[in-house]
Amino acid sequence: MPVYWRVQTILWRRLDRPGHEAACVAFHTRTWQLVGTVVMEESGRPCRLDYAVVCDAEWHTLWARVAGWWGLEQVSYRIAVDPAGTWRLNGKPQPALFGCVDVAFSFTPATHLFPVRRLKLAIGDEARIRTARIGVPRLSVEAVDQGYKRIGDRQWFHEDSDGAFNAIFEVDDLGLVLKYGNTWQAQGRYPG
Amino acid sequence: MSVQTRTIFWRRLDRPGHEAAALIFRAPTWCLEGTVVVLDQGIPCRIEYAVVCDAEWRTLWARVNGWKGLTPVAHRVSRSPAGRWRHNGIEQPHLDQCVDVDLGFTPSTNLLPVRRLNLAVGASGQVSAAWLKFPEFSLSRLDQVYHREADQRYRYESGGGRFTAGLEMDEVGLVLRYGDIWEAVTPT
Repeated sequence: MPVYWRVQTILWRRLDRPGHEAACVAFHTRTWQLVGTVVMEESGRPCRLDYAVVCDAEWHTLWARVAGWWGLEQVSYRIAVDPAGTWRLNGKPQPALFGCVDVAFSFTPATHLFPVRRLKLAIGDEARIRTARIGVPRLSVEAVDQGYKRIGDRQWFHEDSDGAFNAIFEVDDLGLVLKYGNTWQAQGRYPG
Repeated sequence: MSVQTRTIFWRRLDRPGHEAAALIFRAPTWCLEGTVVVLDQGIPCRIEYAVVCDAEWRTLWARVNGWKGLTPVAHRVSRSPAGRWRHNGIEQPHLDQCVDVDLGFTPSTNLLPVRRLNLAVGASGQVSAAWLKFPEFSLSRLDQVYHREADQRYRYESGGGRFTAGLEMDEVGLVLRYGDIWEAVTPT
């Protein structure tokens, strides 16, 4: 397989509050790497978050980090999962996350890429998965049971298993979100 | 060591984009740091910068890092105490008269001459800035005039009047409104 650097860049606008994100997906040394920067308003304070997620070649999350600031608060987290399935946040084991395969960040639409690519569903098929959802800048860590259903070539239905939340989202040919519910919309991609 | 920080969030008005920035005093230097996420001619851009000034607001150095589409962006600009500028290590003798750096992708650096000049209301000041143009990232001299129209309002001109804009600023000199290009969403 060729070694790609910067396969795709994308820019999203946050629809429900002021904010933008620029992100980039690359395949490098047998890992998928997703890096992005979000600038947004969070509870009336400016917030800047840089993140990176590294997955293996089959899109299983290996580790992730988030760093930045929210008003005058510094933010810095590192999340990793070892081959035995133990998740750690800043080095501290998180037994509640046992059984999770993907990481999902609260502040970006980018991490839907992982289940979309990993599950490889046929149109009409659906899957139930358990996701490590990490909320930042107000830290929260939880295992969430979720359903993903591929309802069209590039259209997916996503819900929390408790029914508290659902949304339809569209993806590009790589699996990056083009529009996610009423929250995020892609405004530019390069290469287009 | 004294540390004071003020943060701000700007929206780009003429194209998709936002910036989160901070003004930090770390005695004896002032530091402006920000991250711009913007679409330039359809290409996603992520640009992070820091500008460090002395206590009199004279630029010491600036660095700019990030990417535009598939192209990495990395620039370092510095000014020696004798007033000699370098861009990525290369001397820039055409900038000898410049004191301030002006980063073309952010509204933050207008703060530097405004604080340095400390104009009275009604007064004007002329400066020459070392202008890092966006999206070319070339460094050239840009002659600028600041006219303080009111306590927190300036008329800005550059290139001999080829460009003019009204600037509204907060009490520390951070832009609240820059013509039809930038607007503060979250002044703090």
